[in-house]
Amino acid sequence: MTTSMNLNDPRLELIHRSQMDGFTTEELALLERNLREDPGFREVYVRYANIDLALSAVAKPSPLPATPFNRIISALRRWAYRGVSEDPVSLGAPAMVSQLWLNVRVGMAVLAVGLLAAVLPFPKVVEAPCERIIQQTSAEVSYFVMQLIGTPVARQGLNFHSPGVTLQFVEACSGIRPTFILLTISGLLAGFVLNKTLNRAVLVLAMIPLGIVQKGLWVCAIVTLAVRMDPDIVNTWVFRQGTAINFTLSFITMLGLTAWLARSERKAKI
Amino acid sequence: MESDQDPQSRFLRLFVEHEDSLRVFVRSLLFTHDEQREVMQEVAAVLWQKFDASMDRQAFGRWAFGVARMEVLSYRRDRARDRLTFGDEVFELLAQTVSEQADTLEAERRALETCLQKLPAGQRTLLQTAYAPGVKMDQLAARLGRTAMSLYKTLHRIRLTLMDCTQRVLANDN
Repeated sequence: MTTSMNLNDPRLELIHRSQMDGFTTEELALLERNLREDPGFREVYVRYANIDLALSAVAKPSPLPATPFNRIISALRRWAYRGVSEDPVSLGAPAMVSQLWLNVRVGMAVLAVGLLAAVLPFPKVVEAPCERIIQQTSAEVSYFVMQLIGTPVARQGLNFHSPGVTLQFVEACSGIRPTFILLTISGLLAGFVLNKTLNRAVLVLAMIPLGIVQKGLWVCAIVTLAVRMDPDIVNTWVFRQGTAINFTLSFITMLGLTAWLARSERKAKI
Repeated sequence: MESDQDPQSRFLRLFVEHEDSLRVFVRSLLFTHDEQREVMQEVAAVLWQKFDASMDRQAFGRWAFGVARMEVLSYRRDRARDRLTFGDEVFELLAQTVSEQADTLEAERRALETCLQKLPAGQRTLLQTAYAPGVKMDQLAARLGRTAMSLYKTLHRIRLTLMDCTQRVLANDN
């Protein structure tokens, strides 16, 4: 074989052009002349055809890199897919459909475990510090935004005093369990929708600040509405259903972030 | 002994021996995979129908390349694409190059798997998608939010990178 090929040889463009629509007779004539007159180019041309042909045979999906996350997913899949090949593409459409169904089973199993863990009592040694952190940071976010938009408020630690209303960031309303559920769901989405480890980490880790910011904004919104419209808003269903409303908004934001990350992966420059 | 083999076994043995080189030859004369597959089916059929069991290995090789060349010409003519066909001289030169380099081309195909693993995951995924049966480039490009031209160019660069890699792998092995 000849020495190393110069990848920037402009004649290689002819090989590229020959595979596209609109390859002209002039371009063919030029390609033919190069093939006839230059044995080195002829050799490269044949090698190109060889590689192109071989790619259709060997471009199979490669195994997942052995990261801890992928090991967990692989173990879950082996449990769910017992007796079924893990290479469904090679088995065709029926296996791909069954793979999808098994993916759903795995996802539901992980979701069930996550939801169960969310309703069980957390160890106090874990729960208390987490709640304190969420309360403090949410309160900071809330106070900052209230000052930004000009809502009159006097703050004493976790207590917010405004004309007509006083609110306190309490442990029971820290939102730790909805955040845990969001972490579980985002982990599932990251595993099944996203391919890059960095994007998966971004999606999952984003749930923590997302929960904190949304909680802070929620309190800010309630206080601002109470001051500017009706102090009695704290007795309405809007305030009482705050956790559910917050969770819904966080869920929608999570879906949006997932879609954006997935789109960015598809459009990643090669 | 060769003369004791029945014609079918003998044909299969000779055909399998030359199949990879024939595919590369046909692929070098045509411009898409689908065309190559279609013509190779015809080549295999003609070779079997007109096989002479008394041929030795070299005679079969020369004959098979000749049949492949005729089938490519016939294919082009039938599809009114004969204006995009190489002349006789280039046909012969390409057949000669494929024959002479058969062993090296086989080694490159083996080295390709190693080189594929060295590609970034994104490039590997793109190759897997682009080479999947039935995939159309313009539809794939639309799905990726790119133009067909840019997709072709990207695949072209990846192939050149793989060619360079396989050559280095073979050079290291030697």
